[in-house]
Amino acid sequence: MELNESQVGNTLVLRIVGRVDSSVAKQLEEKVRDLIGRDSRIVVDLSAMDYVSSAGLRSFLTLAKGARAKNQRLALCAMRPDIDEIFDLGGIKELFEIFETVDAAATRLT
Amino acid sequence: MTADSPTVDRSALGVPRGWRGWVLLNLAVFVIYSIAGLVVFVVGIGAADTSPIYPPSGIAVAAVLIFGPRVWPALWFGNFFNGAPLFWAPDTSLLTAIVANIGGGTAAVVEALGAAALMRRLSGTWHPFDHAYDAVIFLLVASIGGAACAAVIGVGTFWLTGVTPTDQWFITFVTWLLADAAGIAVFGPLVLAWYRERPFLDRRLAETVAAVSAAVLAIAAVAYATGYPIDYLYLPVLLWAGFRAQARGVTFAAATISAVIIVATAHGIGSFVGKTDDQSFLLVEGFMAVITFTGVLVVAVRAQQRAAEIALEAYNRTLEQRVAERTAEIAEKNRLLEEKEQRIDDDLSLGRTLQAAILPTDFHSFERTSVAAAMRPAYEMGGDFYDVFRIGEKRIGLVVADVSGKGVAAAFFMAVARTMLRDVAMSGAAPADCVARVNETLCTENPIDMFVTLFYAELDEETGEVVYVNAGHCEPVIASTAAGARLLARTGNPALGVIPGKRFDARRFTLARGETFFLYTDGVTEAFSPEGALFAVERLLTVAAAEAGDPPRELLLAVIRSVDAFANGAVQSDDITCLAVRRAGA
Repeated sequence: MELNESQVGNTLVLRIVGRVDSSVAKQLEEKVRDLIGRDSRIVVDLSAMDYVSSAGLRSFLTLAKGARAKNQRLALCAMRPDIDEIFDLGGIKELFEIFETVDAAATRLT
Repeated sequence: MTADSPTVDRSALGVPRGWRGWVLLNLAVFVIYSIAGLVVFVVGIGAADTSPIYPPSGIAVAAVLIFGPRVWPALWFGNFFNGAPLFWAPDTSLLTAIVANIGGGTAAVVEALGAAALMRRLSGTWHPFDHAYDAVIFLLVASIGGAACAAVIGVGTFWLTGVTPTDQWFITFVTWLLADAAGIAVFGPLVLAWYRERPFLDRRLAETVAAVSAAVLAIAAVAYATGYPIDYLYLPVLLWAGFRAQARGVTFAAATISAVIIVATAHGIGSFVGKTDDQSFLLVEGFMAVITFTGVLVVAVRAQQRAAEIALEAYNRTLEQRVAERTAEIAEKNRLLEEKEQRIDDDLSLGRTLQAAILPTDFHSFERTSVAAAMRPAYEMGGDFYDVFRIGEKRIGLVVADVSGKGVAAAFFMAVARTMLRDVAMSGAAPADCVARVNETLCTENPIDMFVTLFYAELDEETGEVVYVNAGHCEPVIASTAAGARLLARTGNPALGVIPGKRFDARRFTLARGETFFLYTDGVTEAFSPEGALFAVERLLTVAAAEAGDPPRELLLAVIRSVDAFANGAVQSDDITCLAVRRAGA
């Protein structure tokens, strides 16, 4: 897994590249917490995430709970269909704001 | 302060008090002062029976430094009577003698008070033995300054009264100045050293005094016998006395050497005999200045060094003591820490035992279903759990769950979830409702923001119908000899403890006779190899398919063995939990 930060307009975008499983779950959680500390609105770009394991789903769940508890906005965008299905079946999707594209997320979040 | 001899503070000595004490003190100083003056009179050199050194000046300065200015009457009268010969001098009237001696007495008082004041003001102390600076102040500034005052007043009075003729005033002035300065420099330190250091006389000091006296007399005798100028030999004696007995040794040696060379010079012996008496005076005084200065300075520098060494030693001792104290403190803290750690270990181990105890292990009561289960925590206490319990006559409740996080908090959360689910399910509620009610409780009573993924199923032993709810948990496996192994897909329910008021969907399928239903947590599929690869669902399915015909216990052990072989010694990072259920064959 690789994590790339960028700025789209006023919004901080975190792009996840590769696989998310238990070996990188901690790293992902820490990164998102760090970003949220700087900006309370974060868009996670999933267009390049090609696998998420059960432990990976737990990480997203942890992040969603954390963001809700602190009134921060964490949006997912550009999910591939297979990932979308995994999130859907894992009961994760309803915890996030979900957008088709990074731009849509950036526009709507501001 | 010197290390070898204890020294006393001025104020520690019992100085007499009251007017009687004052009178006695002055009498005592007067007597000593006068005796010293008498000695000068007896051994005086030259026409006027004067001396190149005037010891009473040193005694006077020492007395003022020790007892304060109140001894001035002793000095005044002492010097007044030291001038007694004037009364018998020819061509001198009684009045002249009285006026001249009043001048001499006043000169002595001003000299002693002035020298003592200069010493105290400039060095801040009352003796010259601890610092080179104090020695320089005493020997140069205080002695010459005091003597200059005395010479001005004394010679002025003598000249006015005609005792000193006008053509003699300069030589008289110089003689007076140098003799008094030498007296202060040589005899002042002698008295101060003996006053300051205790005991008054010990064996070492007595030996030093005896040896110095003997050596000085021997050198003088050799010089007298041979006529050679060997006065430089006094210098090693002086330094030896200083190193051996510090201030008292060096001042005694300086005074003795001074006395001997004066007497010798007076008899025309030694290197200091000049063409005139005045030349002899100057030569003797020069030599006395050199030995006194050298001796006292050596003692002071040595004392300074000793003080520095002692301070360093004390500092080192303090440092060592501090290190020892800190070491002891750390050892004590470590001990407490170890004790604490031991207590925690004991508690955790007890917790692990309790946790294992609430998980069922005896499944013999199920006649048409064979069950096997295992939970292996990654840490002392796990967040995983499984449960198997009977619901009514023919149904079995099956649970596998995974609490987010690990350790004690996860174990508590697990105990709450497990107990609630079992209670609600045994009361007969439908699986979806059971899960919803547990979710509700976990959402409201969730202070540390945890959640649990859970798979709950009710198996009808007769029909094989399974009603299940997958709350965000990983997908169970159905294994059969005929169709191999397949996954039971997730159904879109979230984990418990996340969304309050959530409704959960239940699904159903039929477990055929001879088929095995395998539930697990992701500690199985996400076990790591040393290279960092995941065990993954594919490997699980392969093992399950291969073992599909065996009893559930065999299948379960095969899975765990396979995971362990894959991990190949890599640390288990997550709890591993498996539950296998097989319907009896047709």
